[in-house]
Amino acid sequence: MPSYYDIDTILAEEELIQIRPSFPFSHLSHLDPESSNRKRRRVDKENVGNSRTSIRGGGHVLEEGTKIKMPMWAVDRWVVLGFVRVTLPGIYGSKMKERLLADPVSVDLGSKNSHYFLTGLLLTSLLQRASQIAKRHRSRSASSPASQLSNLAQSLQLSLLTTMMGERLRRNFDWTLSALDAMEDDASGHVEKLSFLEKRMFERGVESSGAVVRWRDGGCGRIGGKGVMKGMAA
Amino acid sequence: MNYGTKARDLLLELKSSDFLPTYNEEAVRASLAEITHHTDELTDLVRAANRQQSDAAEGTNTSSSSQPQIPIESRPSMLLHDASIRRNKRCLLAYHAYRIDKLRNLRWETAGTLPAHIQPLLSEAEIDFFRAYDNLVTSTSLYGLSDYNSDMTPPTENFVMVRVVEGGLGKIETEMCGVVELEVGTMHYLPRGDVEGLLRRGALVQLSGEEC
Repeated sequence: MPSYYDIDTILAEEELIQIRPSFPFSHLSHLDPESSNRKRRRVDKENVGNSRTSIRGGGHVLEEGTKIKMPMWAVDRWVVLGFVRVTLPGIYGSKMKERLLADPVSVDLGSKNSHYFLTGLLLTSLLQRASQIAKRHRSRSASSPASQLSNLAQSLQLSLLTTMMGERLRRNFDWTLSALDAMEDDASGHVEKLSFLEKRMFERGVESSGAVVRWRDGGCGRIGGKGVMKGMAA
Repeated sequence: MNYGTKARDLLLELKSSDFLPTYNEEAVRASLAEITHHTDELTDLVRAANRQQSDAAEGTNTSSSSQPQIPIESRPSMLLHDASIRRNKRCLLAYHAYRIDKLRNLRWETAGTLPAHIQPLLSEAEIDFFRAYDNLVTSTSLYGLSDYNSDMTPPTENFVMVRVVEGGLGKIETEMCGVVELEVGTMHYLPRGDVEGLLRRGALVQLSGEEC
């Protein structure tokens, strides 16, 4: 797994995930933008004098099943412990998968999420951890959240692998061969659509292409001893 | 939800800068204040939950020796505060680690001289770190282990062809070539060890065989 200090990993965890609580959450009604409107309507209806409403367990409650979006890092423990039900973000959903299958090269991953693959990797890891924990508690529950989470993780993993190692990778490598010749081909249009990982692969590919060209221009020669070594031997 | 946004913005500043952005003390303080706020909230929640359980245990006359269980409805908020504390901490550590790594590399590139255009970007602590790191490397060199400032890249030749690009260098005294006048635009074939420092500073530019 990436380093604790890796900035790209930290930023990749900012991706918003849609979740729904499996039971009421105390003290967290502020996470739902609509909750303050519901509270006001309830206060007017009940003609209560003060502004505090629906106190249960000592705080404002986020109701069960409320749809909210939160960063991946914030809901990590909730997902692993089974406190919430998870819906994959749109960029990893079925519509996006269909678009990537139909024409993977034309999809602009750079604008949708620059850390598309890294976020997907972290999300897969999260779902797998949650599935393993849910498997240990399977005797307590009639439904099988473990299998749902496991299927979700596998499906996401397959989608990421297919996207990364398919036509997009081939096209990326093709562009690295011609990127050095700015007069012939302008790679900027291609690079704009790339995710962060693909851009780094592109840059490494261009460096490699340049190294091959320099090596070819250098021609053949005899390996000799450098002046420094000769001076040391004397 | 705006937890961890200041800390995240610090990292985005790093990503968008060429070398280092100016040290953002305000955002660092705001992140530390957020950590304190979440710690206080978490402490209050735990106390309230324990108090609630104790009251419930007294009411039903159950034994007080057993560990009170925190109600499940209260746990998600505690976990969220804990996650926010860890998140802010991680972002702050990553921010400072990135800057420190840059300064360490800068020391090797400049042989201990802090460039004038870099100094305004640093905090007082970072400037102190740079100097302390430079002193550490220098003192290690003085113990005779190795002269770390001598070569930027593995040496291949004893002599190098250089062109003078900075004025006001005057004359230098070399071991093998005697006194050499370094006027702007002139080229010289000099011992590598005698001009390494000027090359590192950018006062001289090393020429390859094709440029001579």
